[in-house]
Parts: sequence; C-alpha cells; structure tokens
Amino acid sequence: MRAEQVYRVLMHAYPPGFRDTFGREMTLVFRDQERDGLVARGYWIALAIDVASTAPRLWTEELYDSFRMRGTAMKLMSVLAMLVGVLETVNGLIESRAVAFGRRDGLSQVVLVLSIASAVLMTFAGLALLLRGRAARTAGRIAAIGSLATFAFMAATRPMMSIAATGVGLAFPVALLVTLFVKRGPADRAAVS
Amino acid sequence: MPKPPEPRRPESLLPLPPATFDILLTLADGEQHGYAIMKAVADRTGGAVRLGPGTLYGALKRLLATGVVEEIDRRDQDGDDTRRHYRLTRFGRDVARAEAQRLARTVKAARSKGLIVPGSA
Repeated sequence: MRAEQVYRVLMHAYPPGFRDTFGREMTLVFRDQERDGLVARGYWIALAIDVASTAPRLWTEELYDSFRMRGTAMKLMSVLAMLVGVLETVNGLIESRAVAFGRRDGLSQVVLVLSIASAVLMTFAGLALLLRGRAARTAGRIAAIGSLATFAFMAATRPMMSIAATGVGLAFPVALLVTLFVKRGPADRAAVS
Repeated sequence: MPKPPEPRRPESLLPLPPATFDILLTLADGEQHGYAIMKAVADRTGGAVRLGPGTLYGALKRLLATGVVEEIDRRDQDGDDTRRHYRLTRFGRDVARAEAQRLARTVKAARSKGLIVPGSA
C-alpha cells in the first residue's frame, strides 16, 4: 500500500463533513511533506497522535453543529432511532446472557444475534441522519436497509413477537429510510463542518 | 424588528490555544496556505512546535467559523493545484493583538516573580 493510501485511510478517522471541507487540502499537505522528505517512521507516530487527539473533538463539533442545523423531523427521527437502537442492543445483550444459561435451540440463538445486529444497524442509521456528506448518507441508507432486512428475516423465521413489536420493528426502519431518501433542505446542506 | 447582532469583542475568544495563536502569528505576515503555515510555525519555533494536519485544519475550521480568518482561492504559480489560502480578517487581527497583550501581561507577571531569568531564553 502506498504511503498516501495509508494517509487517506487514517483521514477516515475524521468526520465526513470535515473531510469534505479539508480532505483535499490535507492530502496536498501530505504530498508536500512527502516531497520534502518529511514522511519517515517518526512521521506516522506523530500523525497517529495528532489524529487521536483531534478527531474526537471534531466529531463532537460536527454532531453538535449538524444537530443544531437539522429540521425538527430529522432531529426527532435521529434521536429516536439511536435511542431505540441502543435500548434494543442492550436488551439483546442481556437476553444473550440468559441464552447462555438456558436451553435455547440454534435458531433462537441466531434470531437473537440478528436482533442485536438489527439494533446496532438502526443506531448507525440514526447517527448517519446527523452527519453531512454523501458517504454518511449512503452508509445510513445501507444501515437502515440492513436493519429492516434483518428484522424482516427474524420476524419470518421465528414469529414469536407481538403484532405491535413486529409493526414497530418493521415500520421504524421504513420511516428512517424515507427520512434518509427525502431531499434535505438548505439548512441541512449548510450544516457547519 | 430583529435586533442587529452585537459587535463581538476580541477578548471573548481568549485565551487562545497555543497552536491557534501560532497560526494567527503566521497569518499576521500575510496570506498563507496550510503547508506554508505548518512550515512557518516549525521554523519560527525552531521545530519545537510541529502542527499536525488535524490540529491545523481543526483550528482553521474554528477560526473560519468565528470570522477570525477568511479563505481565498488562489492558483499556485508552480502547479495546477488550486489551494485555499487563509488570511486574517480585521477582527482576527484584533483577536491576535488581544491575545499577544494578554500573554505579555502574563510574561510581565512571571518576570516580576523572578521566573524569567534574563538571557535564559
């Protein structure tokens, strides 16, 4: 792998909006440094420290700014998706401990793993609603589709949930998908990076 | 009728992080692109301060958002790459001046307590 490719991979630690705005400039800086012979072994350690010390703050700022700039519906969907996703993940993990001690068949255990996967994907989809950039949007759509497909498979193979729980499990990712496919307003596009 | 925005005071942004002040000091000489800022800071500090790309562009992002610096597109003479150049705004110059005065007061206080020995720097 070429040095610039390694650098580009490291830059993915930064939030998408920041990369959209400054990614090209940062790559040009790297090319200058390479040309000036500054890219040596110590360079990568210093770069890793720089990324580790600056990325968390930039993510926090981007999420905060995006949240501030989003419309009410978008905020609501995002927060609900993340909340439901996290709660479902915790619930699934608690249940998985119970499974370890109980006598569940293989299919039940597969369904449990799928429910956790579905919940994690929903959390990611909710997070993606707040982020700027095409990559975040695509990742959000894939996560929402994944969550929906996983839940649908689960409901079909083991219809043990109530009608209400099945309805919410299917309707929520669909609502998320609709929100992710709806064209964003100017305020959303102008979210501060 | 909405109230006009209140004029910002440079002091409201102080104290500045050291890396940010280093960037402002560099831009006080004139517009620069990212790599030129990095090199100027390293040269001025004798290599003691080397800005990483995350530190530099993270600081520039905040400085742009607060109106301390502004960016200009300029085509480099030695290549086809259009790089963003950054320069201080008038407000940015006031912020840099206010931070310099704040640091001068701190140095004065340190000197009065005998913490700065003449000729040691």
